[in-house]
Amino acid sequence: MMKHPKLYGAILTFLLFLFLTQNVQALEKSLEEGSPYVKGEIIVDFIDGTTEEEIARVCKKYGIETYSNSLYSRDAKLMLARTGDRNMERLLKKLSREPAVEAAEPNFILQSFGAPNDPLYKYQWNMKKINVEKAWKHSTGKGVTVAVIDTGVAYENYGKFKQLEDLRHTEFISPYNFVDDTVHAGDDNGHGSHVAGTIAQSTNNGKGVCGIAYHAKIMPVKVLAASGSGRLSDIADGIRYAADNGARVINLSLGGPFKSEVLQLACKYAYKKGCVIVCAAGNDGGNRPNYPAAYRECISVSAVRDDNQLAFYSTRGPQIDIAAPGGDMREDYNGDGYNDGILQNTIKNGNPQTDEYVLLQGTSMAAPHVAGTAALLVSAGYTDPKAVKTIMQSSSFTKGLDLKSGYGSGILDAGKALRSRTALYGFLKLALCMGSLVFLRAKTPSWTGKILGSPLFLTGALLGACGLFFLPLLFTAPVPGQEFFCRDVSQWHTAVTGTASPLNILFYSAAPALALMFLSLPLRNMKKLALGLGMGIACAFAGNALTASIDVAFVPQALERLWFAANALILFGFSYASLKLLPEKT
Amino acid sequence: MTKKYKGHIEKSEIEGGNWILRTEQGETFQLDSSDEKLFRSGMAVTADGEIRRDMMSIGMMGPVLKIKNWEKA
Repeated sequence: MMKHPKLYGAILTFLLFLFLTQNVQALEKSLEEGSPYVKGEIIVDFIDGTTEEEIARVCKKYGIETYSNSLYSRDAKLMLARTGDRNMERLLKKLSREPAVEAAEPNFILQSFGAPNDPLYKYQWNMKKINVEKAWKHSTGKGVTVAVIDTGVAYENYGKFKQLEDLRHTEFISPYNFVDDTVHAGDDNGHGSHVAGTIAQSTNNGKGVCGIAYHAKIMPVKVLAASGSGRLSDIADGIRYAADNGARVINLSLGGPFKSEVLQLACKYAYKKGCVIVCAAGNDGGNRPNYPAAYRECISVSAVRDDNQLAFYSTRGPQIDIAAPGGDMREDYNGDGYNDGILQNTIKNGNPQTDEYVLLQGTSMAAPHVAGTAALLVSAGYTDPKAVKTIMQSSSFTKGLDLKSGYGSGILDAGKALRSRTALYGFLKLALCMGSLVFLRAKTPSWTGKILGSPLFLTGALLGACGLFFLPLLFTAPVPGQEFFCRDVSQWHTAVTGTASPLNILFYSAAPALALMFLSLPLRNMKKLALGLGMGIACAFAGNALTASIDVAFVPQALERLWFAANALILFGFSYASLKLLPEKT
Repeated sequence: MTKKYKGHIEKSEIEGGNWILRTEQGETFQLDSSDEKLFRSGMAVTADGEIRRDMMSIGMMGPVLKIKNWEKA
């Protein structure tokens, strides 16, 4: 099987190189962007064996006072030095040139890997509750558009509207204001910006707070006036507009107690177009259903506190699908000195010119946690709205909860949702791939073992079936290029075209792999890779048919399993027939 | 259809603060009015208002009540 160890060596070296260079680049970027360090303090690492006299001479020359950080560091000649108000950059340059000094640098404050450098992150208890850092290892929301249908979003400087500081690095797309019928959908209340922040606040920018799917694009859709209320007609229009303009997730932190057929039809329309619709369950503290949350097409989200209790205001009852942090401003359960609201950057209520970090409570704050997690899942390749809901529900936290009281399936766990599905679906496709190999080996002439066991065929099969899906499960840091290497080949297009492209029907069909296999049959080595890819993609499609996790453009949701099963059979059939019928000397 | 409602004005601290009317019958309404003088927490009022079935709100504590006229009770 290992006839080409050099080829495998080269592939592994390339992957390792990518991984290392990306991490070095990330470190350099964080220094450039101003990672936090202890002001007025540097680290000076003297060459081992440097005498106390020599250290004293250097200190005197530069007017600094050194002291050891610990007993160990004294022996290792690793010293801290106070610099006062002096120009640190110039001092470090001069010190680095001293023959006795091995290295001199600022005393950086390092955080655990995965924690963002946003300074107010420490007050975002809600993000820790949903295990967002674990989820970021798998996805940050790239290629997904989330529509925030609300009071607008403070995303631009226009007229009375101002762009918020901590939304400056967030991407926005196709805004629309249905209240004033204009393309400028700024926020004149503060609610919509806060909701948008939980979903995709600019993150790792050294400022403010973080958002869950911070590489997702936000589509600001204003349907509510500054008062916080709006017409059903605008809301229904907003939902259809979002679905027609590429949103894959829709957040509706609004509602009312009356059913509306117009609104339900709009939700059905968006759902059929593949949108995950997330709604706040309501704030009346009772069991009365709130709409649109109570519609079957929507995910209804109740609110919990930091101690996992349902918030006093949260709507309960059997219509709840899942719970998420919504806060309780009457408590400081976590003892961080602030009431346990949800902290995001927004404008002061009703004043679009202000820029503040505000604690809010409500099921409106809970819903965007689910919408953000849905965006992470869609970005990771789980694009079917029903599958996204099932994944979030089946991975939710349930320990010690009375689920019937209004938690739905339990409390959202974004980290577990991403991790468990990556493992489950990845191993399923890998198992299908290995089963197919065994089948082909048994049912085709014995000479085909040379093809089936070749590194090219096996590489093609692995990339086609599941990619290196296990890498994010092994590493503590995100794997660079994982939207390619860690997914099966049929999903690579989403990294380029996004998750809402109508082109996906082409990539989720047998056509590209069939063409590749057919064209490469006369080529000795290419044929091995192409046949491997064909068999692998057949396994990926079989997995998609079993899990029903992918939305295919133009194919009705009820027929998607059948679509994948049929395409899997075509590809597998072609691989099988090729191996069976090819003459031995090819 | 406009009806008469009696109750207290309240500022709810949910969703960043929104104004509601709690009636003597225990109903809660999200207030919709352009009259700033109405928004006084604790004020007892008698109001002529219309329940708007065609409106929704961020408050989500009850139906939106469009206030036509009101006076202190």
